[in-house]
Amino acid sequence: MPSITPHESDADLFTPEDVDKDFASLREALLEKQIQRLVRELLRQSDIYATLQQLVTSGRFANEVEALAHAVRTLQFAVSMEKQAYAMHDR
Amino acid sequence: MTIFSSEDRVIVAADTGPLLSVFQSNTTEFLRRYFSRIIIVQSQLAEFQKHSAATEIQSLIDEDLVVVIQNLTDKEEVEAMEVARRIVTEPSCRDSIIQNHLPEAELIVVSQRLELQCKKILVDEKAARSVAEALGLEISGFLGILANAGFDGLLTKNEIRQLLQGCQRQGTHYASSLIEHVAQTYGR
Repeated sequence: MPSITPHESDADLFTPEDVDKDFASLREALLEKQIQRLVRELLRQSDIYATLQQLVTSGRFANEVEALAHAVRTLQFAVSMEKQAYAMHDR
Repeated sequence: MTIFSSEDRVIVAADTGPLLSVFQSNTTEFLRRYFSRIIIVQSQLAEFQKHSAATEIQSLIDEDLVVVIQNLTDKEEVEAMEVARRIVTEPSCRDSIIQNHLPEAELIVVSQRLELQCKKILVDEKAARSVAEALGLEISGFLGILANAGFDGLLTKNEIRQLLQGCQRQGTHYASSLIEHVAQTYGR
């Protein structure tokens, strides 16, 4: 079977900056799609959606995005505390 | 490392070059991992044939990962000719025959069809990349795919080196310093 020959004759012109840009570009598209899915799945749960609306209406958060961001940071903090507690318990 | 689900895969248009590099490096698994559909145009099929990759592209068409757009509208054909003209005027262009750039020019035009929902266009030829960017399209390429695979923990530094050196041996003239950059920056 003949071997596959390359198409580009200018691969020597590629720079590290080109690669970094290409990486970021594809990454951005994948992350955007992932975030859309996560938000869609989250808000499909009616109780979560209603709670989010209540939080925004209460005036504590400027909008849904701020409320969600706060929720994720709080969760991250809680998980790290839980890990610390387990580590102390195991000692 | 980010864990992407199959639902997070995106639709892209792909020029012949990045797909040939994927075939050369035997990394089609990354196409399946990151893309739900890959759009190409009919005129690219002759290029795959010319570069001895007809079987490989047909296999991806058969599994519905690659979709071939058969016809361009009259307006799109006119636009593609204009894009091909722009490509040959780019300083980095090493082939001044306009017709030789029609496949990537047609792809650039077709990728803008709203109904295709193309998030990016994969193109490795510098001149075509410049023109695509000037038209407001977002580009990536073969090295962008490999970098993402490395970042996701799917490739070690050494595996990236080996894959790109394999492409080098098959005639893709990546600078050794570039290969080292990709391996060091993105490899596990």
